[in-house]
Amino acid sequence: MDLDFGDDLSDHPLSEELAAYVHGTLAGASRGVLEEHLVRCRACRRDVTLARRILRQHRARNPRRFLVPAAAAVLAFIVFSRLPSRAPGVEERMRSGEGAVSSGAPPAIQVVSPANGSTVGPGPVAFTWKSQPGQLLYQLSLTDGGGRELWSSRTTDTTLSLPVSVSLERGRTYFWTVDALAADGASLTTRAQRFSTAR
Amino acid sequence: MTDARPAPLSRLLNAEEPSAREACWADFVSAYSRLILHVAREMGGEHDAAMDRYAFVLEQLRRDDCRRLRSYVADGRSEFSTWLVVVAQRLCRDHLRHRYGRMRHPESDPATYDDEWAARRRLVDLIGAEVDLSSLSDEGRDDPESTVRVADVYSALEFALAELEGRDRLLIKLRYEDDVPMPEVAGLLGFPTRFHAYRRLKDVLSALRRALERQGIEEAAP
Repeated sequence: MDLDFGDDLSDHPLSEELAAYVHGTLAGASRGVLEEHLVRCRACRRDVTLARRILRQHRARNPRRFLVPAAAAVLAFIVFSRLPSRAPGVEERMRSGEGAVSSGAPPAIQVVSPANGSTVGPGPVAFTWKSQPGQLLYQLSLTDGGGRELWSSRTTDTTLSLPVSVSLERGRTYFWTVDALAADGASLTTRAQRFSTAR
Repeated sequence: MTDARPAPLSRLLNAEEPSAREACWADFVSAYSRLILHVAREMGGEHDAAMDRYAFVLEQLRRDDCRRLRSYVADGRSEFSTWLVVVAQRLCRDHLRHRYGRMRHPESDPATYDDEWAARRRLVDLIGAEVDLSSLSDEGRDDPESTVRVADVYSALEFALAELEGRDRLLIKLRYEDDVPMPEVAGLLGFPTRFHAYRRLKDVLSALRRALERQGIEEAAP
């Protein structure tokens, strides 16, 4: 039977544990125990889903307060992406599966345009990347400097054009990523790519 | 040791003089009122009801020398704002319970029961054509034979669900009982992308279908 509003709070996990789960930092056995509780507790399920939604909406409406961690993440990306690393072969990358995405060193899809760090002029922006072997579904996400997603789209092709309904401001920096999913569940990514719009 | 708590909270909890504490409380409310108000509004009801809940949350956070806020431990597992949202939600729920009493359990609440029935039906629909879907139609609910058949299907489904791992059962609950959109489910369960979540869901539905077939559910058709 589902637990619900009427049950004593001592039957439920601590707020710290729910918050860590929402934050994605609850790991191992604690995560398993909490998920078992969530299966049978509608109230806590509602708490974690609503909390994520509220925080996402709140951050979208108040982007400035979250610029510092976003800027730190971008800085870390720039620093780490300049470190020399062994480039794995395509087959090796395709075999890497889900674990590769979460390992912090996801295999890369090569970007054609806009090149990382480039400036684009006025007019339609077309995103292009090199194809990978196999039947892949690509998802492109475009975010602004504050990490707010402006547009995302899926394709089996290797190019997507920004629709006219999404307008980019002049003199701004934007980030885009293409993730690809293969039929066997393996995934690839371009990692975050940066471009600016002309003033 | 550095204080990892956010500055408005840290200043509030460290303030000793009553006047300083008042000023720090005002700062804290100013920093977090939008977030708390957002939680209060998300719990439903009209504007006045949301404002009642908002006031209740602030009152409870300040109560007993900010006892609840003092219980926050900046252990790096979550941000203060995440913790605050969870605590505010629970306080709003306390407020609702205080005001309207305990929520009835599904057995005694026809509306909730119908929701659960609809969720299970959606799940059975998705599991596939092997199940006699006509026996699950609304019209069939009053027919004794259909009722028995539906009960058999649901009983087999409950059994099959119980065999799944906790994370997969949670995936099913979030998607089909709570109607949470897949991108949110993916984020909550820690899938790298929504594609991974869709793929896992497909696998779980296939496993449920096979489990029902093993229990002879494909023979439920008249």
